[in-house]
Amino acid sequence: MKTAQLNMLKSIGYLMLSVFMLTVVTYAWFTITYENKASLTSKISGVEAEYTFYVYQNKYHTGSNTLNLYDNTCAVLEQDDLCYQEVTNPITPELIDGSVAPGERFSFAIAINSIGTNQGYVNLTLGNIESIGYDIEENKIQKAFGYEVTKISHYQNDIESEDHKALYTYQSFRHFEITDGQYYDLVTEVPMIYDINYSSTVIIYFDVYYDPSIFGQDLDGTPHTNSHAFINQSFVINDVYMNVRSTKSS
Amino acid sequence: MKKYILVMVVFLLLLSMTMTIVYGWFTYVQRKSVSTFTSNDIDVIIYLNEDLAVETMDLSNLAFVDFEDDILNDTNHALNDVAEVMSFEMILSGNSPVSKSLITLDIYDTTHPLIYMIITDPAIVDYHSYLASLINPLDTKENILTQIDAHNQTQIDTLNQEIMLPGETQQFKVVVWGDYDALSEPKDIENYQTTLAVQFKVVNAYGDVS
Repeated sequence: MKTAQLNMLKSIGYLMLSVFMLTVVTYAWFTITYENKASLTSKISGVEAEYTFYVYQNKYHTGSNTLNLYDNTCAVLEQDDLCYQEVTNPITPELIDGSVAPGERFSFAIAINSIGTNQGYVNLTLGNIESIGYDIEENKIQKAFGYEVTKISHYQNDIESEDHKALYTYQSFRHFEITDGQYYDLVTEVPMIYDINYSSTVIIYFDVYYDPSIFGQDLDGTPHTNSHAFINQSFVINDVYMNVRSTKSS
Repeated sequence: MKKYILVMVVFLLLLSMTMTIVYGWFTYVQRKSVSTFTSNDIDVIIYLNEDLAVETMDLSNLAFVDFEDDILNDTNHALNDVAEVMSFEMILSGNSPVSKSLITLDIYDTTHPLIYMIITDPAIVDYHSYLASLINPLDTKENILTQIDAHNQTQIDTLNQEIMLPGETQQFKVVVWGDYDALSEPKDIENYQTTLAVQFKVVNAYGDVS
């Protein structure tokens, strides 16, 4: 009887320990993944990273041709158009000013600053894509949008390198799909440090484009010859996931 | 037996959590928000001579003039005063996307005696001087009319290429005179009437225009 009681107590003890550890892990996980400060420093297994997110301001919605981030921030240029605006707290999706229409292009940049000299490898992925206001699945506005990486560069010693995205795995133009839950890779395992002797910032530039050649359809499946089915909808890119690893996958 | 199963379950649970912790330790995952894009209808308001433009509007001040004495030489210094001026103003609503207009002018009477001039600069009010700057007065009448047509087409092209931001206004004027010599017999200037159809097709600036 005593042995049985002892075992029961041990079992309860193990169970409580398990619940406690599960709680700690869950809390830690959500603390990491739901962190919403735009600029923060974290040290994970020797990799120190600082993240900054920029939206290119262009009231004509033609994207950016000036792929040189730090010379073209709104703060440096002291203007509010044709410049990269730092998004200081991207808790909610940044609303693009005004309405969008087919043929328009929007540019973004993400700068990931490696503070130390330990190498880290960055993966960026878009996810939680959402269309709001559509009638049928096939008319989700998200299918008319696509994205592409336009430049990958490293900033070291106050100099931004030329585009060297060809050295890495990056996404060329790809449409978003109407299926929910899809993830869309931007870059895979881009090293944060280009020259291991210096700390550096890797800058990922990407565009989101409203493709005018993608049309909707009738309820009976008859294809349209215009984009009218997408009017009065909203397209939301809820998340960009940044994953920094200290080692490259084999 | 039950004890072994319990121990095994606890062990597997601990192993699973350990792997999760290790994975979390060696990766650094953040989730941020990107953007919301909203697609709205294009919405415009059009005014004609400061009145809200409706489908049909009557203009009854058309004056017939002499081509050489008035159009070319403005002998009576009255050409500006007798001009029928249609001032169009198109306002793009603040919720509309970046847009452009495709404007067409069509006179239903194919043998009409009208001479008209499109002006995109609202500051211009001396129409005779402006007209004189567009033409070679020593040229033939046919060539002068061709020069005016060419100018009008250039103005239309300029308007159609103009990218409008939400809330912006596009303005232009159509200045019209009747050419008495070109009026068909009998020259009933009191009762001559025709329709000038002005079409504004407003589309988004870059892509789909169908």
